[in-house]
Amino acid sequence: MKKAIEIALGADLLGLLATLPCLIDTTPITMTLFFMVGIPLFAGGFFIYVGSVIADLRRHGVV
Amino acid sequence: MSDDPQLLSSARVKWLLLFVLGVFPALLVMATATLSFQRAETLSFCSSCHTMTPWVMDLKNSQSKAIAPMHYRNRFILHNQCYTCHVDYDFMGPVNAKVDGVRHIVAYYTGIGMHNPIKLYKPFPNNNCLQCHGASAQFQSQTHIAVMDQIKANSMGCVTCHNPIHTPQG
Repeated sequence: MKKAIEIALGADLLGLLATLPCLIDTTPITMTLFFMVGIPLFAGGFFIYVGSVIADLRRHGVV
Repeated sequence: MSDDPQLLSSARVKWLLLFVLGVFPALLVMATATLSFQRAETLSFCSSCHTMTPWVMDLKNSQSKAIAPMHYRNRFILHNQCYTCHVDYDFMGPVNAKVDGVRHIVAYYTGIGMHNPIKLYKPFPNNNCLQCHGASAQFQSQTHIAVMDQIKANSMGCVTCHNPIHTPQG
């Protein structure tokens, strides 16, 4: 689980780096970076985390 | 609820991670998307793409006789001049404008669907002109009344008589 959380946090950090330029100054390039890179990284990080939590719960026999 | 302190700690960490990896990014994405969509409606955003430079140069040219520069020069549209004319005034108009914006980005960076010179995806709808001009006394003149049905049915474009719209320069 720890490895999955590290990956998720890494994706989240990269997503933040891809989003901040668009938040500060919106240009076609920063907007492309946000929509094509930032959002998928945030979504990927979230789903990796949810997947690891579900796997952990299954391991403990909760679900 | 379990009284196991290790499990409780682990649960707290999980809730914290849910905030860091779920709630915070969601709020940030919503704020950034809302702000960037608003900024993307401005003339400065459109003109920041090099493809649009000839059109923007024409728009700001005080000698241009085209319709769009005349609107710009006379301050007929105060803000978001490109967006005001090029977004369709129907329910899906603003959404379609965003989708078209994404198509522009894909075309620009990949060349897929890129036209040289660039052109509209579809004929310019009269409703975009009539949104402002439809109720004006000048539009309700005898000249327009004669072809009013065709104008409203979009079978005769406003741009058929009123042109050129843009005279791109450079």
